[in-house]
Amino acid sequence: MSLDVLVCINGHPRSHMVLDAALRKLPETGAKWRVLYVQAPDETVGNARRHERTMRLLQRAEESGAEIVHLEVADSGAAKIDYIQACIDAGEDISHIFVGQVQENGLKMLFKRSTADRLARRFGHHAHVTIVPLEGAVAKPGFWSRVNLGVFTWEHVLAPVVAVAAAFLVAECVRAMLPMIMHRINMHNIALIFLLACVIVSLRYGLLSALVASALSFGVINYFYVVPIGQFNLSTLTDMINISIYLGAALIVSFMGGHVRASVENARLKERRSRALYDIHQLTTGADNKHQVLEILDREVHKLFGMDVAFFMPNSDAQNGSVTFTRYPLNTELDQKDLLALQKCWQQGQTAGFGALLGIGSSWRFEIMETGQGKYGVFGVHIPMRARLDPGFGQLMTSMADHVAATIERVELMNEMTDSRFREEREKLRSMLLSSVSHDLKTPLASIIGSISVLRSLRKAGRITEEQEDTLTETALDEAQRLDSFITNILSMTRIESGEIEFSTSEHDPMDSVRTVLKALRPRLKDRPVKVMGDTAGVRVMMDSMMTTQVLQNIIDNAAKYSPEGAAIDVTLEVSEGYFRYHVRDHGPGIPDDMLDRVFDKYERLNKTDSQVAGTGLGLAIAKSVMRAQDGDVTVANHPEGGAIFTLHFPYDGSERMEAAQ
Amino acid sequence: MSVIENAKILVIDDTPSIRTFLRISMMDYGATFHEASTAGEGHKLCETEEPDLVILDLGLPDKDGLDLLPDIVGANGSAPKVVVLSVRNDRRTREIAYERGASGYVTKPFIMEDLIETIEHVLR
Repeated sequence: MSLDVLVCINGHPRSHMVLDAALRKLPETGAKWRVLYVQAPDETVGNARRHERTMRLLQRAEESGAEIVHLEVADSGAAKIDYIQACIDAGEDISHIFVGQVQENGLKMLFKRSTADRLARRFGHHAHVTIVPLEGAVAKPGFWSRVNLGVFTWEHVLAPVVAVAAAFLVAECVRAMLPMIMHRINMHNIALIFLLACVIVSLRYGLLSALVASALSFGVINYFYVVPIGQFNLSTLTDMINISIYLGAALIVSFMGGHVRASVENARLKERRSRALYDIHQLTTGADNKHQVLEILDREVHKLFGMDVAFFMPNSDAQNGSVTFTRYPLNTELDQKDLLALQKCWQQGQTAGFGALLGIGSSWRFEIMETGQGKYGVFGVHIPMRARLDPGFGQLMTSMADHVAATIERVELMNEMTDSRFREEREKLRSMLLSSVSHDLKTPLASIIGSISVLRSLRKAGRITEEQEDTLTETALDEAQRLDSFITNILSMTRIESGEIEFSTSEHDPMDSVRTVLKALRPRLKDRPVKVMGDTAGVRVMMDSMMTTQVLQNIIDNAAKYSPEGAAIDVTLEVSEGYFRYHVRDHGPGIPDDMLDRVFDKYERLNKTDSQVAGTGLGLAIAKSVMRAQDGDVTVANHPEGGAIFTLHFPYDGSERMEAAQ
Repeated sequence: MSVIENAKILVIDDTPSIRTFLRISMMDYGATFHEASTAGEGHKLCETEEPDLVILDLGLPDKDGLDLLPDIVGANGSAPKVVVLSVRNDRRTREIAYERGASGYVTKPFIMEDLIETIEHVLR
């Protein structure tokens, strides 16, 4: 790997000058470059603004094509040198190094060489080192800003009081017991007990509590253990010195403890955040729609920040000018300043609102959600009053916003893909259905038109026999009826599917339907024997009698169509196990086993194109829909002795029969 | 008189009503008429009867008419002419039918005069 330009920056407010110098140089060389950002662990503690600035700077560098290397070490100078040495050792060819040099004042300037000088001296023969003078020193974070004062609650006042009281008790116990073992207890030993209490408080409750503990314990020692006892006065110089030393020690211990505690809290916070980010990533990976993603994010991010979180999605109709947003969660409330910040964030694509340069005055902080594909929306966090933002916050928000944008992008792409696949399938199915239907319509039409045209030409020629005339007329008529029934089927299927047909069920004698069907089918069945069996006297079944009659007619008609001329059809009515059933059995060839569960499928005939007898496709599909709509079902099986049996099932609890019997 | 007179014609179509009116019309023209409702039956008749013309439906229950076409056309020395009679009306099917040896293509529905015209054209 080769590398041409290395830019070293740190948290110095003027670090951008180093970057600018490098950027000016870059177009000439067209080089590959890398930015080394060395951050002291506590450099930005208590200075969110500066951290923010540095982050923006790094972002700018990244946008210009730089690779970013981020190191967090105490000795930034040494770290830079080590890093560059490692690069050179790894065979990377660094031709330019840009580094900032801070003007040191006073004695320091005389004795300590700057990092820039050290770099130039060490790597001068490897690379061209450009030193950019930076005005003003890095303002080191003050002692106070290192200590996370945090939130101060009653607990923080109570804790030192309790601790000092406990120390007092322990001291009293020790004093009461120790004289027995011949040991004189003095003020110094007592002081140590109180000091211990201070240490514990500082570690557990932070600096402020520790300071309270120090002051309290100082008072207690002074009052109870220093002569004159029972007064705050000090009689001897020694005592005065002793107790002053105690106070000093207590204060130092408090500061140190508070600092340690703050560091631990910081580390814990960082750990918690990275774990939360990981969790959020895991959770959103599984989400498959935008709503779900936002729901998960809202919940998790709220948990993570402990603040109100909202997402703002621009409404698609307005791309320019004033954009309206859909809020998620819906009940999010924004005031005028917040809305202004939100608009600014969206329009300028930058962080806005609380703690940012844009949209000052808003209590929300808005971060743009953006990927290479474009802007998706705005991610907002409501910063509560008196909240102390730590430096990682801005960075965390930016990375959250990026993550949300990436997730939404993924989900949208996925949806688009599914949508187009679904459309494709539907189109295919529709065209198949259309060609199947057009075949079913055209075949009977072909017979009708053909027969009539033959009839006409024979008439014209004047040599038509009566028999020919009869046959042609019969054929045309039969086919016209077939066409009619097919069209009726298509229409009822469409109406059932669109829910246009309403079923009205009431109690009926199931035998009525059978009689109606047999009457209607008489011309079709001719002299075919139809055996009706089963005792249903008094049975009343809840059914839509008209629709049921249709289904039954369809099935008996099929039985006739698919069995040899003159073969019997058996219709059996049966009541058992909570059901009433019609069984219709033909004595035909039956249905191939692999077709049994597909005969009710509306699309089944699609697989057969135009080889099937017209008008037979939809009848069973309609039967299924009708039976399901009556909470029943229709099933098919082959009879062991041959022929198919179609069964209509109706739920039936038998009570009707009982009442009728009484 | 027409070339159809004395021609031996075989109709392969699974719709009985179509065979019916074709039979009446063809016999009226003086043709010898044979009919089959499946591809298998039709193929057999082709070999035994050696028809001059086959009127072939494409949507047959046992085999697609397009797949039967090459078998009929190459059946014997005096290969019959084939007129396809189908509801399929797309250019691709038409092309395949001609590629496989069909001499005419009539789409359903049709009036008898049009079919007669095509048959006369093919047989001439």
